[in-house]
Amino acid sequence: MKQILIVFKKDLRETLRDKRTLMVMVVVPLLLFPMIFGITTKMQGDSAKDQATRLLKVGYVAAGNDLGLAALLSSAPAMQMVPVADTALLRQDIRNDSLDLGVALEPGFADKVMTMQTATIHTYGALTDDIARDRLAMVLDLFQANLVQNRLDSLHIDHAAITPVQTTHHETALMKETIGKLVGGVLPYIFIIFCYMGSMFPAIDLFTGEKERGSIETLLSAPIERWKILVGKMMVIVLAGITTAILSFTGIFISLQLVADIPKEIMDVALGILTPQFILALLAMLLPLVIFFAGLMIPATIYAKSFKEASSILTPMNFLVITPAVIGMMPGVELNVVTALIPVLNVVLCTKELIAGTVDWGLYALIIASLLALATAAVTLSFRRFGSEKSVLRS
Amino acid sequence: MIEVKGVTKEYSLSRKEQKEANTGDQRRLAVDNVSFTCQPGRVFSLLGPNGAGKTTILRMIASILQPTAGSISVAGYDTQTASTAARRHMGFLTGSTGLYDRLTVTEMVKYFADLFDVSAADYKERKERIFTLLDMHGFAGKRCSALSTGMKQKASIARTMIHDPQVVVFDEPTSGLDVITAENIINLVHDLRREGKTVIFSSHNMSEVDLLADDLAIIHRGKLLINGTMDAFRSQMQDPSLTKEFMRIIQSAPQP
Repeated sequence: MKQILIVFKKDLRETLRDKRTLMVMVVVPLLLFPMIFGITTKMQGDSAKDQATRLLKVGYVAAGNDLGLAALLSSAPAMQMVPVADTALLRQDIRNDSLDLGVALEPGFADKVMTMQTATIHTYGALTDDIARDRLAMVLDLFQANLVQNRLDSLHIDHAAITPVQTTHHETALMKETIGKLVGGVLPYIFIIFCYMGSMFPAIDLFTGEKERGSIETLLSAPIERWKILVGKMMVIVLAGITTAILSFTGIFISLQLVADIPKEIMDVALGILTPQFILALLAMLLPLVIFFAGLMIPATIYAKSFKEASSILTPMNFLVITPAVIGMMPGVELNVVTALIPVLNVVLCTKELIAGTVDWGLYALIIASLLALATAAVTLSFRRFGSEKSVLRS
Repeated sequence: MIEVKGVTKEYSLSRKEQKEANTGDQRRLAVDNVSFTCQPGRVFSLLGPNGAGKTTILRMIASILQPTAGSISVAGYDTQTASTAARRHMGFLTGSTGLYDRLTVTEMVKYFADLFDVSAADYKERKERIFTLLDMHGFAGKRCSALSTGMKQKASIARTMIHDPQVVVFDEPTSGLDVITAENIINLVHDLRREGKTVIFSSHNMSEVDLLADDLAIIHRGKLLINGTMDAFRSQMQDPSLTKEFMRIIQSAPQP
């Protein structure tokens, strides 16, 4: 144990002096991520606000009597009605951005409406301008509702007669559950990716780096068994991965604090997640997961001759982490006996359940067992590779 | 003492390696039934052209590699059955200084002292002696990345000697070094001989061998061609130039 700690302490010291590792482990999750998250969320919020309140220029091609639609459009907040001669001109004005949207009534519009037929209102605009389209749709819905009410009045029919059923939803899930199920997947997605990235650079530095610097031979000629060297180095990699995950987790909460627009009830739920039980349950999953990551990375870093070669092997392995993490965020993917056995996906799904407070502890135990089994297999693979003369001294 | 008895080292070749080596053989013989002994208080030189198998033999002595056949003992310990004990009595200095860039010289030397389980008192005394001998105090607190080539070589020597090994292995120690830095190594080898240590070094530089070696082995294509004392070698030379004699021996070696 003493020799393992000697290797661990020396490698930790070296790792903490590596600017590249510190950047990925501390600066990105704790500073850069909250900054980027804060800025993009603020920009998104500001943009949505602008879209909702900016003056909307709506081109209007009338066809005689419009039954008050022009007046309704003009009276809508932040909406300017601009008369246009025909639809060709309307299309052209929208395309060259002098108008945002367009409305055109079919010929004989009023007659059709007044004779109980269905008349058509044509709208023009770009699909991408969805907030503007929603604002116009609200005005047109109101116009439609007024016309329906007028018809019902003229026919002396009560509105209830054409509304035999109405549905009212009563939410039974707690806010915590709703948030957990809806957005709970994002949280583990972020910290798992960071965890992988955070352990990748120390893994490369501590194994490929030893080969590249030429220090591996001197180290192997010291009176220490190889497995002790491996364990000492692996401990640093795992610690770096866990630390990066924790710091990215902290970074997410800092980001949430930075964004002023998040509703109080969501913030309360977010902060309420951080119970000792949640943190312990998360760490218990994270530890074997990082050992598994380390166990997969180490054989590649032992084999690689240079930092460049190691990066070229480990970077594509990112996708093996990202893919299950993305699947875990998809709606409808639930934690069950099968998904509990798939690494990364199981941690993402279980974190969602932990946040929602609906975790099945039997499945949780299965996840821990499967991760421990995978971690053991990966570590065994590392031991074999580190014992291979050809890999260790490959140059 | 180092005893190498009938040592053979074979490597299995992958398909890619077979293709690169333009051979259909699945195995490559790097060292073929080599035997020699290095005595305490004497300097043994392992001489051979590039790719002769020198580094492989030294790596087997350092128990970084295991022989396919035969046995090696270092300071009385078998490198296969008691490799940790064998390594404890050995210092290994490679041609590439191989330092830890982000550690200071003192931190790195302490790391190896700890790995060799050197007591605090011994470490203090030996560090002081080596750092004074090699004039290292001026850069002891500097990170290895900031050192000049000569400083790096000195740091590497300090790391190799901090546990006061009985056996010292040098793998092409002066390769690529300037004259002044190479001189440090040569002086060190002389000092080690005076102290009664067993020293083995590999080289392809005949003048270096002439300067340092008491005993000599010439290896080519994994086979030992010459093994004996330097005096005996000199007395049997067919060419007055050591370099030319070395070339003659290599060129007259049987083809595989």
